[in-house]
Amino acid sequence: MIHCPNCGTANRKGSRFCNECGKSLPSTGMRCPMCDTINPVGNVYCQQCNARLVPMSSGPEDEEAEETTSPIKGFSLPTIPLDETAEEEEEEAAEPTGEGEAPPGDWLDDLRGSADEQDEGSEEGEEGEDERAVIAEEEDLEPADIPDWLSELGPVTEGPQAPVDVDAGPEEEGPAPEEVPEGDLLEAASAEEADVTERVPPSAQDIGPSDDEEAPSSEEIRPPEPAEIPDWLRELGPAMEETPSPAEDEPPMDQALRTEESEDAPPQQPEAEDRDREEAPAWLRELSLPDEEEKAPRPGPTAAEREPSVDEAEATAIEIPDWLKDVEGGQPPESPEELTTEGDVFAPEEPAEEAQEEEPPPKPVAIPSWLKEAEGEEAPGEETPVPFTEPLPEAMETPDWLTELMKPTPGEEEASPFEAEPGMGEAWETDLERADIPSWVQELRPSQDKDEEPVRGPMETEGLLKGLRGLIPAATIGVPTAFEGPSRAQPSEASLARAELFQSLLGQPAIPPAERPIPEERERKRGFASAVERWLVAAILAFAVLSILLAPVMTGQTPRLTQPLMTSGAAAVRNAVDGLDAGDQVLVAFDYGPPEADELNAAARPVLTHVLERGARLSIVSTRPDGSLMAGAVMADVASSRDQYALIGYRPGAAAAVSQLLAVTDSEPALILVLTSRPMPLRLWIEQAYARYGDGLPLIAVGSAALEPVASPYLDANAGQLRGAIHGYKGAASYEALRGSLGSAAGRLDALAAGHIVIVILIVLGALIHALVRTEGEKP
Amino acid sequence: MRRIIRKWIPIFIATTSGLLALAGYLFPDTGLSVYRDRLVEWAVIIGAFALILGVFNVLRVHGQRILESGKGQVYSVVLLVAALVSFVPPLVYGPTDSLTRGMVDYVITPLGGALAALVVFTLTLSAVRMLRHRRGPSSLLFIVVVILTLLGTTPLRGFEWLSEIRSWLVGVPGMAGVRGLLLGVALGTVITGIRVLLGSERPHSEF
Repeated sequence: MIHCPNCGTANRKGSRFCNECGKSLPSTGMRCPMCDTINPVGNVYCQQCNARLVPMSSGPEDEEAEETTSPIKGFSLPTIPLDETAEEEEEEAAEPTGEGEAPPGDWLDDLRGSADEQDEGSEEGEEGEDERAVIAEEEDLEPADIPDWLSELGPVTEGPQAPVDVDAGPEEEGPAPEEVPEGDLLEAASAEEADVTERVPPSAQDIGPSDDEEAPSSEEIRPPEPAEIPDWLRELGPAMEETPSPAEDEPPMDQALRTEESEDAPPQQPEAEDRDREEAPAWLRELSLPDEEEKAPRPGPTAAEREPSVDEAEATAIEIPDWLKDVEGGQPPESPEELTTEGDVFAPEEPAEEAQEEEPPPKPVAIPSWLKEAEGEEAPGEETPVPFTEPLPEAMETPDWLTELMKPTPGEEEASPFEAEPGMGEAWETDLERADIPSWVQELRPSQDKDEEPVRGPMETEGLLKGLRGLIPAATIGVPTAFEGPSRAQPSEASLARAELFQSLLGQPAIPPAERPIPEERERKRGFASAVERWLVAAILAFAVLSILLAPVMTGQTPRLTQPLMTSGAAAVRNAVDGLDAGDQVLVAFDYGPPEADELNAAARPVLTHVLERGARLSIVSTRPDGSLMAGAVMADVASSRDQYALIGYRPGAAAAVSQLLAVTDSEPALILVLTSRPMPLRLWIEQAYARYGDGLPLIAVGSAALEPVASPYLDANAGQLRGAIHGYKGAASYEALRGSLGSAAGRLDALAAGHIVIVILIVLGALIHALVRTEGEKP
Repeated sequence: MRRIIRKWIPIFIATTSGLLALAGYLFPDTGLSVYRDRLVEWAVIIGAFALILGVFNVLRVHGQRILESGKGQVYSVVLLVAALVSFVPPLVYGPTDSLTRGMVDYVITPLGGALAALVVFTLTLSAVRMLRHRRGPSSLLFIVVVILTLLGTTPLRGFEWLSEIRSWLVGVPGMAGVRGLLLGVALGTVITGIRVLLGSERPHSEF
């Protein structure tokens, strides 16, 4: 289970997000020694850098075995999420059942299997609680706390014992040993564990045999049956049978051990032993603490010679693994009580008598490589294990936790750790000659240089393994000596040429055709011509307009270039104003500003003058802040008295202001006059006034010449929204003409006409010049 | 709760106000026009506050630029001085005082007219150079229409027929285009109003 770090909800293993809160869950995987990437458990190579995560094996058979049997990873220690490990350790420590005695950590969850089996194991663990308690008092040893990777190290430390395959957890499903074919050793190994799980309560699995059982002696320790032999050893069987005499071909154990050490065992730090013990996690310290008591009952090299006491026998019986018990019996145990499941015990649990009676001759195929080398010196079936002829080489650095487990009794402090192994101490003392490694063993030698110092892995920075080095096998074992990244294909020359061409194109600045560089002389000429053109146009325009405006001053006569026309819009406006009576209220909206003031003022004056002449009272409003200023300036010219109009002022709010103005008016206005140069105010006034008063209220407009196209739809007779409108100087002149008195609007219309004529002339000349004459840069 | 306050309450207020104002126009005789006018009056007041806030924001931005000696601080100084000068006379003497009117008649209005005249000059120069950069039927047609409109706007003596052409251009093609624009604006206004009333469009809310 993976507990959510956010809400604490237990999620299924492998979940990426919390089922409760949706937060990301800590990933479980193996840390890559090269790039520290967390890879899923079971990956052989890193997803990021393709570095090898699992230990290098001596042959392809081992890799296949690793891939096919995921729990068996040699001496691998799975990388686990730290938080999860700590939480599960706490939970398991709080559980009084046999399940709680299992070593903590998520990496053992793989060995536990489903929850149903756990529950079953808990119930069964209560039954064997008494037995476990007795054993615990006598040995103060917690066999169940020994992790899988330590169990697999058992053969290294205990010599003749076959490797205990504890990776195949007790809860793993698999066929029973009797159902497993002889040849399929890996499956048989897991099947044997599964069979034990099914029949043996966890307590019995943890503590080994009960008090009622007879303690086995060290002589009872026999190599396992072929079912315990991994694939890489299975092929050694025939070779072992053909092994020459041990005196001639005894392989040096130091090399064999060094090979295994360099491949599987983490490096040892003797000088930092105490420090590492302090920094070691709780479960690891627990393994270290009882080492003194553990060494005493551990079958030593002389255990076969002396008669073990009852306590020692019991202690030894605890260390007998289940697989060995099955091997010794040669058949599945008859009762669950006879079985032990956990591989973390290193002594068989079969009763001595029964073991002696049923003890088959050791089969060479059941012996690991290091033991096989030693065993090759002796005849098969010989009960005495092959002794070590040389002490443990220095190159083989056993980890501190393993050293502590191998510490001999106080009286044997200086002895080799292998003296504690059953059957090994004697051979150790005999100091046998070093034998040559047979060729078939040489083939099994890993590619690593045996003289190379074991690589120390990076220090773990989190979790239970914090502060420890080299415990992650991938960091110490699985890394090739010279790792090479994924090979990259060399680009071809053609590809390189294309890339260079593309790069050169990218390096060039993007110049649009219009901005292509031109010669400086041409640019200078063009600049001069452009400046002359601008000034010429400005001068002609100014002269044309000013000549008309200044003509009355200079000559005393007003030139008349235009003839005001009677437009329908101007006539409608005049009719609307003529309909006013004295005292009628006229709402006037000054919705223009200073930029349009000259045109609008000229257009508004004749209309406002007419309205005032009708005796109407003006209410002046504006939806623009500067509108009231324009109104003040215009009314100052057209009104003879301040009493003729009321300046309401600016009303913010656009459409809302217009609506509000129409709503607060005391009485319905007789006429609404809108003075604007922009379409928006005109539309607002038309909409709001028509919505409130409908067709009954006349609305007229005085706008700029540019507003005429926009106002024309409202002037349609069918619409009826705008009674009439005049636009610009033309409309003002028309209105003045309708009233029979040409004023300033007619004079400004002449100036405007002069300007228009000049503009048309300039456009025509420019078009002819540019159409007929091509400049140098424009020539194709 | 925060989401309710910042999303649903504004939607409720906008929808209720909009429906009430709309009902006031649709059913003016039911007394809803009173509430409609009251809501419109509130809108005007809020608009006035928005104008004041806008003025203070302009002053703050340019004042900060002056204090930070940022780029264009000279223009900011001119703007603040002009704002202060144009603000004091109407405030002290009123909007119809001679000082205020003189400032408008002799400063603001001429400057506005000058800017509009620059537009005329720019358009004229662009029209003159038009065939330099773009030659084709469309350019030629544009030039012809411009000439006819300009000459028809001012009824030249002897060329009154140009005014008829100009009136046709404005009354037929021009009005067609403008009607299309007005119809599009009207439909867009209706759709926007419906979306606001339904809460789909929330210009007044952050959500």
